[in-house]
Amino acid sequence: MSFQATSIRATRRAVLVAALCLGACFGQGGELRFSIRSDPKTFDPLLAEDDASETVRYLTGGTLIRIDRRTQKFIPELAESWQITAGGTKIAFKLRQGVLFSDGTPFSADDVAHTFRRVMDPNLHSPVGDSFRGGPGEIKTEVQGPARITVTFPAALAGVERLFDQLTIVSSRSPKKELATLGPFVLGEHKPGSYVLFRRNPNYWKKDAAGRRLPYLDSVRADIQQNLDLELLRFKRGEVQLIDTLDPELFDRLSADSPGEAKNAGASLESEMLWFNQVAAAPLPAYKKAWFRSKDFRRAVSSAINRGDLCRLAYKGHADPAAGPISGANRLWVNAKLTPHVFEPQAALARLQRGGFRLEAGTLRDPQGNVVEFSLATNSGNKSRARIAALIQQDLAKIGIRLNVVPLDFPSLIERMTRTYDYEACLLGLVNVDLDPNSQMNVWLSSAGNHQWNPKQKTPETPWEAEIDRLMLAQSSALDPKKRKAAFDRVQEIVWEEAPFLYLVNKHALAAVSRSVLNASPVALWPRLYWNPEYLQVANQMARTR
Amino acid sequence: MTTAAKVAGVLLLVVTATSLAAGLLSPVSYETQFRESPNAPPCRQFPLGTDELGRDRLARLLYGSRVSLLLAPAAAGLSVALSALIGITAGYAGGWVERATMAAADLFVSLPWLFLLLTVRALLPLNVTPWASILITFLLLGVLSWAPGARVIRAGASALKRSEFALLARASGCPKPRLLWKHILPNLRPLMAAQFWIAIPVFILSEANLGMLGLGIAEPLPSWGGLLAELQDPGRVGGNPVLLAPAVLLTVFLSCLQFVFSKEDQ
Amino acid sequence: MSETAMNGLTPLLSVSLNASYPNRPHVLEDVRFDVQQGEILALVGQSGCGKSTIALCILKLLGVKGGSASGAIKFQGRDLEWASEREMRAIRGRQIAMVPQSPLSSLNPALRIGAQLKEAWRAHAEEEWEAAKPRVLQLLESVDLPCDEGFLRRVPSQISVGQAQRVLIAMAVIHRPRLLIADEPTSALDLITQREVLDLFARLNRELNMAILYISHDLLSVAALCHRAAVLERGRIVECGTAEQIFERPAHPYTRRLIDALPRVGQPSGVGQSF
Repeated sequence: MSFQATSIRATRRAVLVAALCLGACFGQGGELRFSIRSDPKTFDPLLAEDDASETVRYLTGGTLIRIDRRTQKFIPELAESWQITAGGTKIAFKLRQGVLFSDGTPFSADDVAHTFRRVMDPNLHSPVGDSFRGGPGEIKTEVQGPARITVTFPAALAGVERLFDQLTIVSSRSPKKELATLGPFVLGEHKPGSYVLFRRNPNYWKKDAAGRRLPYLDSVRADIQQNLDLELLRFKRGEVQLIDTLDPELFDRLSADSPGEAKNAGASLESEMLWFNQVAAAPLPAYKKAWFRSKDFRRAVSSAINRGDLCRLAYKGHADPAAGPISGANRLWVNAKLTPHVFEPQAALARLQRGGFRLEAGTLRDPQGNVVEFSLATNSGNKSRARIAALIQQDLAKIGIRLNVVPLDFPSLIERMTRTYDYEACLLGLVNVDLDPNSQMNVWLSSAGNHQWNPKQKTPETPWEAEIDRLMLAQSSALDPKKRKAAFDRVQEIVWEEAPFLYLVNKHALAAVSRSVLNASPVALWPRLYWNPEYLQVANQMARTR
Repeated sequence: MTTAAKVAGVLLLVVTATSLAAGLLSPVSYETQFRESPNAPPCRQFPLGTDELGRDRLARLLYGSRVSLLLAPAAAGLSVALSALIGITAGYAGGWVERATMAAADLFVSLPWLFLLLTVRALLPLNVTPWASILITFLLLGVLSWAPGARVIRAGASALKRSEFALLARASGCPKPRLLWKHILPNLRPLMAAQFWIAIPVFILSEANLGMLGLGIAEPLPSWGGLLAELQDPGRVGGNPVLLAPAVLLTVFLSCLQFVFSKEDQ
Repeated sequence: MSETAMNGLTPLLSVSLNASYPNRPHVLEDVRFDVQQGEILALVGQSGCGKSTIALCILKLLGVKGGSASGAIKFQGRDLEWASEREMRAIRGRQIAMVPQSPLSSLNPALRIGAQLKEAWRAHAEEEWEAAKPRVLQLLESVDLPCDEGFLRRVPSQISVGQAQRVLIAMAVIHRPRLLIADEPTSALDLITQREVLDLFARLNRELNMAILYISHDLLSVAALCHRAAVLERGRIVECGTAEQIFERPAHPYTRRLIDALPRVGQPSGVGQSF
């Protein structure tokens, strides 16, 4: 049986190679296939929150402004240009003309006004609406002819352009409502649990350099597939042509089998981090709270961890040591001056000894003589994270610290992190999908719920947390990008210095792109592979299956 | 004893002895990470190669054997003892006791285990030493798995209670406790032995699943369950047949056990 | 009732019984009979007529099979209806013992023969087993069983049906009971063994003055062994009298049919020669 399977695969590959040799197989038409993890929860672009729904929104929706996933800069889409005035409270758009919705109804400023009315309707509970709703007061729109519209916010919103990347314009007139779209594709068919099919939008406005109407593809099919091993298998069989996330093992396996198809897009926005519980009311012994609240303890632990080994052994080299909260993949906001805490176990020990800790017979004791031992909670089922924990356990053992690794199911872990505070240290991953620091207010403000190490403080408990609060608020109201950058750089420096989070590694963005796909280049930002769906091309289907 | 049983017995002794003498046989500890040689193929320094963190697979297999070999049978024994106690009581008492016990067993089998285990994890402190965590794990496995066995043993006890020889024993004036001890219990032995043999591999594997809830055997201690869990990824095994070593050892161990002890039972 | 009130005229056992099972009502209907001291009484009838139920009723063990009984059972002048389980336990095996129908399934397959005998002994004796063992070995010899240690170490699957039946008889008489209930004790045996077992019963009756309630469908063995016989048909006693009366002048049509059914061609075995 295995022989048969091999021979079939071999034949397929031969056919594929033959197809590639024909040369002119790339062109108009064809179907692109990839996998998504679940059924979309909604097809209403204003309600999308889960990954699958956002995929639908990205492929079908048109926006005024896009964040170019490769350059991370704003590019005009349905808006030809825009201007921010009145101290950042007004944004005036000049709209593209002659654009039609997929059902043929024309696009105008009225549709933008209608979209705003709908998204800001409190009864809709739109997540996109929530991100626009910075403070009290109403958002007003003013239509000045079919191609001009001004949006007025009650208060200045720094970096407001990025919010328009999420705002899909819906038609005010089309009888098909949200199903009339402005993006490159329209929703074709949804078979729950099986696939979502998208068809080419014949009225899509964009043209390529040669003046051909985009998109090139006839259809895109997103298969619903949860099993990553199966996904890779289907990729190898040519049944899907893109894989947006591969774990290091599968990536290496694919690299070995077909080197050209495994793509490493460098550092991603995902990082792994460790933090200590600094909550004053946590049910922990006082001496442990004292360790966790001591900067020297945290920094010593940090420099006892060999981040290079974490990358090499836990991720097979497909990760970089992390320096701070912002991954290098976020080119706009990363503080490039920061480097990862250096691995120096002897210096770490010395630092602890200066604080009264002592190493006796291989066991570290605090100034009161307590054995330094703590538990590291993490979610179970994540292989790389389990390896990180085992590596850190060994690293810390070298300076006499006993670490107990406790894998917990996710709900229990969240319960401990956010409600009972019954944990000592925690190892988790973090993804910053939104590049702008404003999206991280809920982490950095000491009053915030996601201020994980010590959430919901009434007043900042430490001077450095007060300083972070001040800087975050300053950057959120400053309009000058340089000032914002300076403030956020300082936040990153403080976090590096005080180490409330010990940043460990930034994972690489690992993906797979079939040779039959043209113009696909993976990037760190979501959606990693099909961020330019209108330009994607596949080898001629006829040639491939013949 | 047949030759096969003798061979099996010797093999069993060898496996047990090597796992007990793991410290002597393996020059390195199960937790030492040779970080410069992860995923090493078998060589002179590492006869079975190393795992992805550069830990000696042979040392991990030997120590893992020690953990699993001692504790899985102990937990199986505990489980069978509980099953027997409950099953025999139910089968012998009959009437409402029997019905109530079996209803309880049905309920127990259908309980949402996940939530119960999560509660147990929540009640335990986070800082437990690996050895304590092993003990808790197998205690849990033993205590929680009484129900299916109890059902089987109850059926057996109930049939034995109605048997001709039990009736004759009653007719001879044998007191009830004595009847239980001398006439019913010895005849349930094969049934209990079967339960015991079935439980051992199940427990060895369930231990690995408990790890998902933070209950199983914690890093860096190895166990057969943990080592076998690596086999779940078929793509890796293909490239490295050494990964099959724990599966082979488990199979050999269980077949030997069956061979030696089931022969003695007859 | 005091011991002195008993005399030779008081029957050893006096029975008046009704019994039923949940799915079989009226298994026994007003079954009355007496067993005198030292007498061998036969209960004769076809299979399924309720003979074995009578044995269980007398020992008050019908409940084990799920049945229920009413009526009176007087043993040595004492009404057992009011006897507690504890008192019954003292009677079972010591005063009234039973030899069951199917020898092999009545021995515990997991226990060695020696252990089974020891259990029977322990149920009532104060004396240490080791001290009593020589007498038990003698008993084995008297029932024509090998009395060596090797035999005692066997398990039931390693002995023959005849041996098993003798072991059961030895276990039953180990405490010299006043009454032995033998429920079809020969049905599983070949003819030669049957004969030996019947001789054994006759000897025990003679030597120990042990009364025997001999339950059987085998008229030939009844004729050979018993003093009196009672004929049971569908849960009722239809005729009762001395062995001669029953065999030579049967009064009830059912009894006549039973006797007519006996083989006439030749004499199948020595036991039938008495008539």
